[in-house]
Amino acid sequence: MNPQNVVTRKILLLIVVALITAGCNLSAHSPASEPADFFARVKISQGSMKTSIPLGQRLTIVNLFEEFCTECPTGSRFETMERLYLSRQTTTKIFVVFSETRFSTQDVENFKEILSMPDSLVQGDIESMTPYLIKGKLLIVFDANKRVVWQEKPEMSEQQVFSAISGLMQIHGNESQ
Amino acid sequence: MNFLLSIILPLALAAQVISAIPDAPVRLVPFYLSSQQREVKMKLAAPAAIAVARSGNIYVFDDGNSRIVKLDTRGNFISEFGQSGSAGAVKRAGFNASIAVDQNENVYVSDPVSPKVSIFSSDGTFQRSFRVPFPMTSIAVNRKQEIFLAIDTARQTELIYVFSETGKFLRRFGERLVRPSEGPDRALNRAIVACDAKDNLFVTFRSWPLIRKYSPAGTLIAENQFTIPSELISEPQRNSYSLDFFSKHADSSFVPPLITHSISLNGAGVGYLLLNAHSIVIFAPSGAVQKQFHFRAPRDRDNVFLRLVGDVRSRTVYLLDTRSGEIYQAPKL
Repeated sequence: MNPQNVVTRKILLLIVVALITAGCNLSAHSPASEPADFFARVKISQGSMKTSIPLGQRLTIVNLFEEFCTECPTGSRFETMERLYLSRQTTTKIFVVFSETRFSTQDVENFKEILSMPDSLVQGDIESMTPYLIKGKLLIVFDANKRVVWQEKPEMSEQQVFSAISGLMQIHGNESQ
Repeated sequence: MNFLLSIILPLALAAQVISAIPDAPVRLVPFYLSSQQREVKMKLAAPAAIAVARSGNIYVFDDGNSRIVKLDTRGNFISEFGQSGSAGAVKRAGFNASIAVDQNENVYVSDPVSPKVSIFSSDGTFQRSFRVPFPMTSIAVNRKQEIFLAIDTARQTELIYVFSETGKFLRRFGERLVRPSEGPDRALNRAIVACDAKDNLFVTFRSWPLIRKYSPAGTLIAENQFTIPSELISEPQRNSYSLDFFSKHADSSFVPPLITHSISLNGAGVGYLLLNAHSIVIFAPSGAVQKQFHFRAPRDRDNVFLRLVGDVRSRTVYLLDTRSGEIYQAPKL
């Protein structure tokens, strides 16, 4: 084989490897880098319609659930969301979106009856967000301009999650006053 | 009635009974010996729960193999279902594994981890499943195919959640023993449930010696105490073993001991509790305790590893050894 061809092949191989690596990085990107994309990707069911998540005047807190596990370290996410729901201000909207492929309409209707945040619970298409989920879920907070102002990181405790978001709610709540 | 019970019950509980239990012989007949099965698929691995259908067929939650095993009335292996990869695959549930069978022999399996309930027909065909927001410690089903779940959560909520056969949430009822928290007292509220042939619900607690009887509508009809075998609570612990103590000291390092393993009823409404320390409680259809005795566990196994279930057609009970996978019959308990 021509030595020039070998070099060319090696360069091409390097480029391919670099592209693959970049591709992987992109797919592992946090939604923070693609906030506008988030709202385009996630559709919630409202009756027979599918719509984007409506924005709050100040903050929009969204928790996606593809799965939940009661024995996982962060298995008490419902409690966290309920605490946030109870302490929210009118300028903040909270949504808990359950994957429509994993949770039936009946499941979500039951949750609305059982949990104390019925108007926040929705079924939705979150398939495209699957790579970003942490142990089947993701909590992310947007401002009124669809900018990500906070998002869940792996191994965060529920207390850390609650403290961080309630702090944000306070700041944004004060700003609006 | 409820008002009357609310006055009487605290008095009854104050008179906590911890005492030695008399021995009584129990004849155990081998019914299904896992170790003697030739085919691998017939061997049980850490089976965790057992239910008997009206037909006499037996369903075993074979936890270690994540599947349900169906046996006939003679202890012959009929089939397996809910295996990994199949529709409605059963997940490992450990101590909180629970299984129930309705009048049409549909099989209800609780998954406390996901948490969800999966329903299969008697031939193992997966029918449907529904999700529950909290883990559960036990499942029961009545003649109307209403599904009763004993909920295990630190939230301020009722003890029992009821769903229709299609998975629609219907109602909740039942007072907890103590105000729930994430402390060791949470164990006190862990309940196990069984329905009688008249759709009454019987509830007992894993760590507290009480049998409650609820009407089909969820009204508390009776509450009866049984004796805690003295081996289960050491002398120094006895002063701390009260609902009052656990209510006031949710952060205590004293974890209430495990007392009750299983509850079941036969067709005549006679109920059975299997307690830790080789003790069986037999209670009347009213919920009143009739008899309590120690028995010799099969192969001298510690009965932390035993589950007991009554046959709805007779007074026969089945005893499942969760370590060996052996099932014994006690024809006359």
